Amino acid sequence: MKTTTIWQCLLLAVATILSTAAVASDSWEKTVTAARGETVYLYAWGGSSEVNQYLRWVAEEVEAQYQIRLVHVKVADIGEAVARLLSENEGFSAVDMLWLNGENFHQLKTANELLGELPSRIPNAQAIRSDIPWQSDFGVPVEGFELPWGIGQFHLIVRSSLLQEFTQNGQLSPQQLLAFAQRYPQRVSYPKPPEFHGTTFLKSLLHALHNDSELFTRAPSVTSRLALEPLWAFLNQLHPLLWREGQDFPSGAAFQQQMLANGQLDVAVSFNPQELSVAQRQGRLPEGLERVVLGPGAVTNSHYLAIAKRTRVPHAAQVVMNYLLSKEAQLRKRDGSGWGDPAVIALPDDSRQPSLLPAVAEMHIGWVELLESGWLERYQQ
Amino acid sequence: MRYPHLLLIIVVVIVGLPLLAVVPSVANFVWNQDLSNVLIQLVDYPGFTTMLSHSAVAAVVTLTIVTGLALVSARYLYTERAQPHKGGSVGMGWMGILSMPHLAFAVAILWLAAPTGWLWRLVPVESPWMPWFDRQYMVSLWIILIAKELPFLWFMTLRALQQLPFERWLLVGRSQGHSESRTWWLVVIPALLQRLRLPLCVVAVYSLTVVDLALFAAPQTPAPLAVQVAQWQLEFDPQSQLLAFAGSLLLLILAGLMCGWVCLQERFIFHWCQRLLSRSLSTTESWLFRVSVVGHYLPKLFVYLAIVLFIALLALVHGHGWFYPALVPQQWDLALWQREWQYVSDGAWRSLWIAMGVASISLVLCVITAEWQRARQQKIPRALLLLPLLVPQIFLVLVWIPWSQTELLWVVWAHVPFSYAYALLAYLPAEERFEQRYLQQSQTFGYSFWQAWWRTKRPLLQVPLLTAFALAMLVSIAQYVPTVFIGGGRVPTLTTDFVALSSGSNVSMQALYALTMWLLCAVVLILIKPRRKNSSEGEMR
Amino acid sequence: MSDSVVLSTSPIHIRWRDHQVDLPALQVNSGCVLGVMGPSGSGKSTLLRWLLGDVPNYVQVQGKIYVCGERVDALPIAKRSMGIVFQDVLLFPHLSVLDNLLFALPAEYRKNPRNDQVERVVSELEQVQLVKYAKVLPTALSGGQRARVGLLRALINEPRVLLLDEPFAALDQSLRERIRDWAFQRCQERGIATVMVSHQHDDFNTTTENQVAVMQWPESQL
Repeated sequence: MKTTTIWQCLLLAVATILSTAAVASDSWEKTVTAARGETVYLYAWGGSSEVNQYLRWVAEEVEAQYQIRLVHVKVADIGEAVARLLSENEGFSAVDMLWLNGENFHQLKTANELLGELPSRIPNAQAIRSDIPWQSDFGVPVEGFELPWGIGQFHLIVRSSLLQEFTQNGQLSPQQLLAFAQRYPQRVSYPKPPEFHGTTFLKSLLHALHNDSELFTRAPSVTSRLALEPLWAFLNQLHPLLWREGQDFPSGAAFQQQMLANGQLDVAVSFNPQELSVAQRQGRLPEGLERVVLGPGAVTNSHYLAIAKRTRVPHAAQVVMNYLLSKEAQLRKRDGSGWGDPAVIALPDDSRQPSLLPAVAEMHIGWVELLESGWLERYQQ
Repeated sequence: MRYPHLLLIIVVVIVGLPLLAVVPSVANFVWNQDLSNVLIQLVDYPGFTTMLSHSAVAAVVTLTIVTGLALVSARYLYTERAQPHKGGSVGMGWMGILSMPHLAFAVAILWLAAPTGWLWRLVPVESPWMPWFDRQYMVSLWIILIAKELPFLWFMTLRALQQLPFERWLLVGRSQGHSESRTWWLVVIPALLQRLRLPLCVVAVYSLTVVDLALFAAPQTPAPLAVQVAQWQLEFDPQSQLLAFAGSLLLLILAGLMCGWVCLQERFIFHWCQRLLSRSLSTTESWLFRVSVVGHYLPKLFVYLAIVLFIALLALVHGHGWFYPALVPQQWDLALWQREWQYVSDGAWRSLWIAMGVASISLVLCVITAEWQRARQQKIPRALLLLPLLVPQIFLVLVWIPWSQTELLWVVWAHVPFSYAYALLAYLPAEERFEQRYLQQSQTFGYSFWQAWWRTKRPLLQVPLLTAFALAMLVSIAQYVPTVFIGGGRVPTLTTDFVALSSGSNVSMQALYALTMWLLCAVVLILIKPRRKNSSEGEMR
Repeated sequence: MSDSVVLSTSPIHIRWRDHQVDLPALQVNSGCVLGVMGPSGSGKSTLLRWLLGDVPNYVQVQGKIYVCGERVDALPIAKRSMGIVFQDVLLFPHLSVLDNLLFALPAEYRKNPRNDQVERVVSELEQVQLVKYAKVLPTALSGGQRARVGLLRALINEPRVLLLDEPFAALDQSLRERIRDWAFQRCQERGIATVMVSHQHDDFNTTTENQVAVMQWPESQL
């Protein structure tokens, strides 16, 4: 990460702390009182049984501590919640809270459907780690409309025995990946863009092929397409060596993980730095795998919580969000025997926090559009 | 019947209005957008022609093969059922597949028979015989669609056969010196096919517009058109919305063409049968007849398939840490049921109650529709019945959101148009053959129209009524989009949880929900199975 | 009693597609039979359906109907005091002979205890020597038995008017005549006005005491 970004982040963090300090603690108590007896509907992806289980635990806790009923609305794609919000008419929304990031956040923020000023509303927002670049969500400025819940770091999960001859330092360069694919044809693939794991795979390659990561934090210009040429050239080499000769790509990261477990592939992708150990404990992935970063560093971003502007229960939603950012809840979330998602607040016993992978900054959102449309034009006939 | 129009208004309000709700947005799209420009963008979209051909070919292949298989096995289906001592259990066993949710079927069969599946680990062969039967292969989508739609067609075939005096026809045919199978093909099949026209259209339209199965089993680079349309719908920039709209319209046109294809193949078979009446079989034809004997084994095969899939799902639920090429998992874990049972049973009960409410309402509407047809002596165009299947569901449901609330009642209402269509499909053909004079006769004894209906028509049409009820329930149980979108998470069902889980990688958990859904549907079919006593008597010959 | 008018109509105009038939005013006295003769498909059954109160909507019929002086053409079928027996009798296939007849008992009887109802039905069955078939489903009866049960079912309801639509056409001639005469006799005894439609003149040559008037169905106009 370049120094300017860090400075920006720090400045913003300081500003946040200053503004929240002004909030009197008794106003928070009023919020908590007002929230009692309410029901909060949290829309969140329901595909992971670990996340589902974690939210069941959270629901029990907020019921016991705040007398709030938390309902996890399980959706197959959080876009469904966005669609619901955008289709509703004025008046209360069915959605109270959402777990989202990236494009979905961008849409809701643009449509003015999210509750703002979250850092000053949520006391625990002050504790959010300053060493993570959460103020920008896939290149879209957060501006207080969402708060980070956890951290995503894009990496590959690869069969160790095969990997060793290509790399040993936990990093895989594009050339090493190519060599791997040459050695083990049909055993590598990545989710099909614009699925966000797939797009991030392309971003990682792009970072690695250019050593100038500064380039991608700025909006792309007219000549930016040229910057993508090395990527296309690389993919042209790589694709014939991929699963099904690169004629088709897995529909998503979950499916690719199943193919790794089934022995059909030697590579899977993930955003959760602890995915491998969690999946192994859950019996979803076999032994003999290891995680490896593609390119100079893991594309690092956060996944977020937001509150719908038209929620019926703004107080209760804030209390739930505050609880989700509490030490207790973040500690539990980090626990590798459950979800294992990294904490976004500084925790006392940080020695137990598994170290994050080396990070690179997110790209400006303009590049995503270029990458996705360019990819589709070239590789989807 | 008094006030038939008033009653029809109820149907129009409950089913028609929700469907009409799309008209403003369609009109807006057609008038306000530069249609040709959008169409050009659609055609220029990367991989458009492949998407289109994926969808169209899947529909044509599924339809044609399912028709063929249903026809060659129809005869054995009936005799096996009519003679319970000759394997009556086999006669109904294939219903196991009918009651299985589509996605659960796909999950189970691919886990079993894909190249790294359990089957190939158990069978001592060098390499799997069907390397092309795997996720994201067009052929596997075809196979799954065919295997899943065939029991549905059998189900409709049984109903149709009950209304044909085909046993007498076969007798006449034999007395005139034709073999039984010849009479079957020349006389019974054309009549049967005519009665299967609407179910075949349903199969064709379903194969064309299916999203969840196609996302699972079809290639994704590019995906079939219906999948791409669904993806565009969940991208919210205006460009994607326009493409989604244009894609939906295109699917609608394709669906019309597919229904045309249904009529075309019907006429083709009809003419072929007619020509055969007056000449002997060519060598190809007699070869075809001999091959058609496979039809005899198909229903049995499906019984075994249901059993095997059941075992596979059961194993999948309880296997912990099960990786290729292990024959058995690292350990059997029986705790999953215990952990999840509360949530699973919760969703299952809710699914069941909703389905019963939806099916009851659908059936009442169905009866009203039929009686209105009688009173007016005119038929509602059948294409209208297919409408709820034709319009992409998410499209409809998004239009309903501003008008609805997140309560159970609204979710039930949102299910009704879809269940109603299937209920009509099962009820109308039998109803139209009912001798309505029974009702007049009863009324002369001093009963009101609806009293007479209840006392005579209901018991006489018990079989189609129960069939319609069961189908409506199964359709309701399977609904994901209306339940999640309209219910806003207030009414989680087994299906919403299952579909959400299907987007993840925890196969055991998926299998657990799939298995429960399957059991629920099977219970519905078993409980609502008409008793043999009165079956087929009331449907007039 | 035999002189009182039970069924009467105004002149009737029946129109369907490109046919029109005009009938004079009809009048049937108590215990009398009006026979309507004409070829098949000429609209005779439509007349019966109109009298009964169920006209297909592609047919327009103009006229008024009176039963015992009371105008009934706006009443529903259930209120017209008319019974009908179709050519194919139409016993309910899912009900036994007994249940078919119980079903047809007049509304006021249905409030009685079941035993009374059964007794009433059994006594009727005794008169036609069909008691032993009470528990049998209609499919097990012969054609003649079925016809008798069908008639009995119409009569047990105590209608004022009995409509017979080519009744018993499926039976052989001697059986048909016997059953017809039996029916006519019952109508005579109970003062029921009968309208019978047939395309065979023989059907009206009865030996019973009923007054039988036969009307030739007019040619259709247009």
